[in-house]
Amino acid sequence: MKAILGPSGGTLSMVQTALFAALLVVPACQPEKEHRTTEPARQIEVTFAHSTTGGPEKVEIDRTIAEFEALHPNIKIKQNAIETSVYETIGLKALFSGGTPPDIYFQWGKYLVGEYQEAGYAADLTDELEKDDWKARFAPEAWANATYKGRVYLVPTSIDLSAVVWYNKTMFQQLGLSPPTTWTEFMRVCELLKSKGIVPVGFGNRDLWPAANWSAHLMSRVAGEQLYDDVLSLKPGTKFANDGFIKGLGMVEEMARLGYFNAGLNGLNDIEGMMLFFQGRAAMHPVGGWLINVAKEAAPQGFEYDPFNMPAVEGGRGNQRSILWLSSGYMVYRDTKHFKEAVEFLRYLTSVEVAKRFVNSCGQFNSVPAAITKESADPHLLSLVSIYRKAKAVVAAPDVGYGRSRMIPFMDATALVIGGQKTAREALEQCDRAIEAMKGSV
Amino acid sequence: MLKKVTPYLYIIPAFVFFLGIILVPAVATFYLSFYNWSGLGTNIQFIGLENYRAAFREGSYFLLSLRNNVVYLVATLVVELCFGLIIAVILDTKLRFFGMFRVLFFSPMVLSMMPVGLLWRFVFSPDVGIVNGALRVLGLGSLARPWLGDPATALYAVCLASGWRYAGFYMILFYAGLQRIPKHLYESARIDGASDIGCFLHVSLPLLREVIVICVLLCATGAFQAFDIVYAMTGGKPYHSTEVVATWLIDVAFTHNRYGHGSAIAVMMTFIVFVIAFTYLMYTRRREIIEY
Repeated sequence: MKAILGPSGGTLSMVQTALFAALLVVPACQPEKEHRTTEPARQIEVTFAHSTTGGPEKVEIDRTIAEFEALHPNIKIKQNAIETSVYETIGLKALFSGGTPPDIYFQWGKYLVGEYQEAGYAADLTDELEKDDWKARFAPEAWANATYKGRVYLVPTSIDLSAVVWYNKTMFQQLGLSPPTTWTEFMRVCELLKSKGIVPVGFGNRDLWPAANWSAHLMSRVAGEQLYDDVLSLKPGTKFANDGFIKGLGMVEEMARLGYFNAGLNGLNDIEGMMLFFQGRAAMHPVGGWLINVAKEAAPQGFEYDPFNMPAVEGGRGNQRSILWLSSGYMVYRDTKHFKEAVEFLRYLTSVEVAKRFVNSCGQFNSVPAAITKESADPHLLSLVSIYRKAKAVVAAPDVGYGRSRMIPFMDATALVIGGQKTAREALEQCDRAIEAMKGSV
Repeated sequence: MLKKVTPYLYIIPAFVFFLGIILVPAVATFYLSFYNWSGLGTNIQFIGLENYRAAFREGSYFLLSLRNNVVYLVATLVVELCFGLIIAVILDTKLRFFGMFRVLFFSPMVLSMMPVGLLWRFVFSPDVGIVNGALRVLGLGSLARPWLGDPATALYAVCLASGWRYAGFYMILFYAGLQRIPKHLYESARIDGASDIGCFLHVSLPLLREVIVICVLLCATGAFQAFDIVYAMTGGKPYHSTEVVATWLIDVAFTHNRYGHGSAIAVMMTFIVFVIAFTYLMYTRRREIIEY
């Protein structure tokens, strides 16, 4: 046999070369080691994907999993925590299309529930929820966004108000201001704050959804909930550049023209926007209930804040006590081999005792009403609950409620207006053209 | 026979990697560019060239992002190459402590782009940023602005951050090139009456031509692949003013859920980079090698 020169200068035969190559492959092909068969009971691994990578909520998730595993020694919950923006765009999809679908996964309600069900990734949980009165634990309103074509696919854990206006209580008290209840009052408050050299409304709109959510709620107040839903659902024959939307977004345009927003808001992310508020550089900050969780770590000691709902728009066609909300929770993979165990874990996660802990330590607006008590809940969360209870109508947030993928032109339009780049009419007409152009390849 | 086969056995591992990581995804991307797919499920439809046409329609920022790539290229050529060359020439004078400066100028290269982006976000922060802070201290507060939030300045701010990161890299290449130039050529030029600038223009610059061409090629291909620094600093915002092809591609595929359209953009971008690289290869084949 002819020999070839080896890497160290020696000779290496063809046989040796083949053996060397085989050595690289063999370990991967070895059968499972025998000692595994001697284990007393096979442990079931349930994979769990979510977007909570840190903070008090992650601590609670870890604790809940540890407790559940102690109660069920044969079940191991394997977490896959992916940062929210990555989870929403690439992360979760990659798990499914990459052939490693999680048994349980976090999901936002309404649009995405339907999208994942249509894709074949969602298990029907309707019958499971009927067992042992599990369904009775949850707020009845939570099911609207958890249901698709009459069947339940999401176990709701949180119902959040997405665009209330948080205000600096101390600043308001010092200036003799009270939370405005009408749009006219709101504009008066903004003018007074601006005259004192304070940014009235702080935003961090780099990711588009903060201003889009708040503007959308205002537009629904002016145009009415039905038209809002029709337009954002891209119902044939409707358009964004309608009178109600132009008037509603025109009110944001006026605020931008009067200098009521922070400069360069479209270059700041949502957390930077929150920091403007926590540091007292902006008196108000419209965002969802998750601010409470961030404030626990980022707001200075003694910082006093509270929320108020979108002020009533005089002459608006919509219900002036509506709230903009989103719900979120957990779905189970349709083809999971561990359906029973996944459901068991979700039952434990939504038990009153566990839900109370999420309310208490994270300020979470939990979908289990019995978990939110005066003793367990943060006072800011109780303020949110008060707004929620007074609400007479609900409006879904544009991004998660109607599909972020389809709402980008609308979100772009609100960013252009709030940044003072275009008028409401120009921006909404551009939005209509962009959505029309997208139809060909979506 | 065996002697002929053996070398091929050695390249099998590398070829498998190349096949799995480069070739198969590239072919799959090209294939997907003719289909409509949301990234979820198996509902996929053939739509011909529609994804390519969509890149030039209303609502698409492909052309704008391509223009931004060209601006980024020009800006990085100026900032990275010119600054790198100037620093290399200064360091070549071998004054005291210049070795330390060489390390300092090169040090940003060891940082990954995400921390660099976050660092420069802080530098350009409208309220607590160093740039606006310095302007206010100097009594130039009227010039302070939200650098990354203003569409007129955001792209240039990103280019500056990129320049800071890469100038040291090009400095090292130019410095190495300058080291190779024999000193007697400078001595001859000086005897002929050349000044410092004359020596640079008529000796250093012509003899650095090969290095400059390589640097321009690296800069050009790098500019069309720009992603991480833009993603970290602005994410293509505000109003898509810093959108480059790679960020727009990511947005289209993963935010808009238009995987087919995203693939079409990837194919077009690959073609552009290929043309640049091919032009360079043609140039290098024809070039005259200067012996010295």
